[in-house]
Amino acid sequence: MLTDKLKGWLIANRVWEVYLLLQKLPEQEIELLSHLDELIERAVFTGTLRLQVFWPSLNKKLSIREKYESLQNKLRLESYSYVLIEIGDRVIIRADSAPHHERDYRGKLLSQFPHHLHDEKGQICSFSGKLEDFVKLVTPYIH
Amino acid sequence: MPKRKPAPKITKEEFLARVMSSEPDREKVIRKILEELHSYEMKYGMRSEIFFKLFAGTPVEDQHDFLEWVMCYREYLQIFQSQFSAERAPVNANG
Repeated sequence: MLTDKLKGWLIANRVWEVYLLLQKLPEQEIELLSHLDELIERAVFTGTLRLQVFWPSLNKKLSIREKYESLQNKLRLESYSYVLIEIGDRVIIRADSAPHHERDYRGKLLSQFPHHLHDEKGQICSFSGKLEDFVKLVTPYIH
Repeated sequence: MPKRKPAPKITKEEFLARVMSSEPDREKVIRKILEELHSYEMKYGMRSEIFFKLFAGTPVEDQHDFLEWVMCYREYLQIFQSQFSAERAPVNANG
């Protein structure tokens, strides 16, 4: 079992990776909606990281929630939810690993079940399950 | 020409040192989770444990807000489970 200290360190490393990914988005002023040390503290006890990034000039918010399983000296991503939201709580696009869909909106099997994306029209599409790919999909909305 | 991205303002080492400087506080985390669950309960007029029993793992959780609620309640369960595991962990030979 991982100690709280090691778990915190691993989660902090993941937060750093996410921070670097966000640097790849078009340059805009961003606000993190919670203190990172508090997010990491919560994730140590719950195994779930929840990070929210707000673009005040665009009225958009990116919500990243990742649940981890502890394995010896590392964390494995067990499930996640990535959502781009317009203020007023309108979901623009979102991706998650909840196993509720086997096929995309055209009836084709999802390429990486259970990972899937709900596109802007609410249609189910294949998705890799990788946050970096979701960030790429978010990019056109951050201008 | 696209604007050049600014370099990260802090280094990874500085970042890790900053976020790892304090001891995690379980009680504070529990309070925050309870506040979050309470806001969902007010919004949807249902207790979290009932919502979870009825809808966790069903297609209902495929809606964004409900998935967030389910995940938040799983955090709530996990924090008590981890506390229980920690309390049951074997002490060392001298302990």
